[in-house]
Amino acid sequence: MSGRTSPWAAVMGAGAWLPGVPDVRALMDGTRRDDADGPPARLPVRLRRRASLLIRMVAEVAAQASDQAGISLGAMPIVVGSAYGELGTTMEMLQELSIDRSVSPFRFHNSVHNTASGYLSIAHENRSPATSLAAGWQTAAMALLEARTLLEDRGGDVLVVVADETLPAALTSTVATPVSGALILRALPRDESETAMGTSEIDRALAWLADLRQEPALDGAAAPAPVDRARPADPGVDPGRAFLRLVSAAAAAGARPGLPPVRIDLTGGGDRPWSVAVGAGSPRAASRRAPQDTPTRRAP
Amino acid sequence: MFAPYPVTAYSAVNALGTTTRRVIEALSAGRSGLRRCTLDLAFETFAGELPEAPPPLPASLGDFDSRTARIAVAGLDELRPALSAAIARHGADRIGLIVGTTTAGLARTEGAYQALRETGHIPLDYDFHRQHSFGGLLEAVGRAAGIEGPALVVSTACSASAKALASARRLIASGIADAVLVGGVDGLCLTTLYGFHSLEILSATACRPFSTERNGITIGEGAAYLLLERTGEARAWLLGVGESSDAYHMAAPHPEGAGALGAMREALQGGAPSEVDYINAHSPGTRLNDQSEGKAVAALFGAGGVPIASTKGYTGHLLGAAGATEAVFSIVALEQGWIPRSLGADPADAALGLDLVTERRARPCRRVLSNSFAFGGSNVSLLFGSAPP
Repeated sequence: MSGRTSPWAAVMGAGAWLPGVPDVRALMDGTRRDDADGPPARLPVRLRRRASLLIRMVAEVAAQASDQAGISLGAMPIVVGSAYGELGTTMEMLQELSIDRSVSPFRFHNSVHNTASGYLSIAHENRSPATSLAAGWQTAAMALLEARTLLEDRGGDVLVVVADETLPAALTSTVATPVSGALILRALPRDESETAMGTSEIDRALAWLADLRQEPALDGAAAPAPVDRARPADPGVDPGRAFLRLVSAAAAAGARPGLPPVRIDLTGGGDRPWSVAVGAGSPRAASRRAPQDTPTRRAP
Repeated sequence: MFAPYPVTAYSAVNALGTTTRRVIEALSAGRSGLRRCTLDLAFETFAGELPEAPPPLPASLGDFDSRTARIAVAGLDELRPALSAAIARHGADRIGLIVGTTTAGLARTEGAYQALRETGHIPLDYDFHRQHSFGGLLEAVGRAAGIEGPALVVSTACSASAKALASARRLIASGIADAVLVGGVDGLCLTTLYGFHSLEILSATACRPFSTERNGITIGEGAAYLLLERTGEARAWLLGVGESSDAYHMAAPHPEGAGALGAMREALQGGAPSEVDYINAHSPGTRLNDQSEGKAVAALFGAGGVPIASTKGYTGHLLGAAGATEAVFSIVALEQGWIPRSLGADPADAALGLDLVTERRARPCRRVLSNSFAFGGSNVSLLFGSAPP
């Protein structure tokens, strides 16, 4: 690993939205609320009109994270991970194309995968780099990896959002409902992150290994089957819900506001190519206590 | 501190040819690959279609079949010796894969949706996850390439595969990978043709970037790859990357080219603009882009300060594959010492105040800048050099 920053980042703020679960507090409490209209569109009026669900989710969770962190979204790089992108808009275009042999210009330019990241940059007048990525069942991991390499490269803060819309029943039998989560991560200097916690804290440190691709879904759906390497594009893994495990873990670890560190490791190869650990303890504590074989949530 | 890394191998297939050699020969000869589009459309247009249909995928990848996946896998062929050497040197799990695309298997989905409307059934061989989704295309390319490191698709519309190089560089710099295969791929599909047509920026004939007679863009298809390594025998060096957002509009570039200027300035890494020998422009053939990019280039390099050409008159706008393809063209200028003529630019738009290369120009190049701009206000500028700084 290169020298300037550690693989640990501090969580400065978090956001979550899925149907019935309007924020991180509701995610932690298990409370549910009727919100059939979707998330509030936290966007300037001129951008709000006809904003897709994905755009609204990304704007909402990013705003939650920004509010919690007390940091504006005006300058930090933006990473949006979405396995499927602007699915609703794409389905509308397919219908138009099929019926009228035309596509609305607005729908077309709002169907690109980086529509939500573009909206965020416009809404917050953020001229920093913004990226939009997908990696199937590894989407959450790759979004975090992208965030990590940005932190190592540029320092400062990075907004990372993972979100997906409902899968279209017309095209797939896989059922997945909307989900979105956000973290604002801050680069930690290597020496600071390794001495941030005293040894006395190690023993009572929380150390969770959130294996994002095997965590069960939050809303009571069955846990996804273990990944079969021979057919790894199989559905059944939901990057957005996996990401929310990390959001929850970060929120739970952050008994003090501010700074539960997140470790993003890539060990490379094998059937466990990457892992994410969250802890209020030191990096050493997390790496010592984090189980390597099964994704397990440890009680303190 | 920007660590330069070598590009050790590259390939490109597109309307100019199905091998890199043929593509470069056509570029050198000033021959366009743009023809009347063969798809059944409600309007007339040109397109940059592959001169031969891409071969079917190997049986082991059959589930992933789409035109884009076929083009992507076919484009890997020439890189196999370099990939084998890189795998032997670093290990397959130390080589990352970053693919820029905008459509993946969308053409398959268009067909499946049409069949659903006509017959009430989705075709049995349609697979949403493996064909439509970016993850499916990524899986197919990763398996075909035999590499096992971190893999992701970057999809920032028309800057996607330039952005992929930016991510690849960081992945190596952070120590997570020792090499990254960077690709860009897109296949023709109805959605993009009808979409750009409805935006009224699709030309009825071959596009004419930087010309007073410009009349919009032409869409192309193709794949391009670059192997970026921590160390190795360099064909060229990635010396700088600049990324910015316009924060202005989803579909229109910033009128003063502010985002483009920021990206180019960052890519220079503090080096003098006068050290740049050639700019491979983004210009796809729209008035708004030419004015915006022209202003940004003139602001940074001075009027007529640097030779500039767009290669989209050869290949069409390759969308997600444009950045990687034009990175290859930029490296060819470094290696071979010539700048392609900006096909279709004559009569050039003199009001832009640029040194437009309207005839192929022999010129030894040590530094070449390549621009890619996109919907969402996503700007990337890449600086390649013949030697490390």
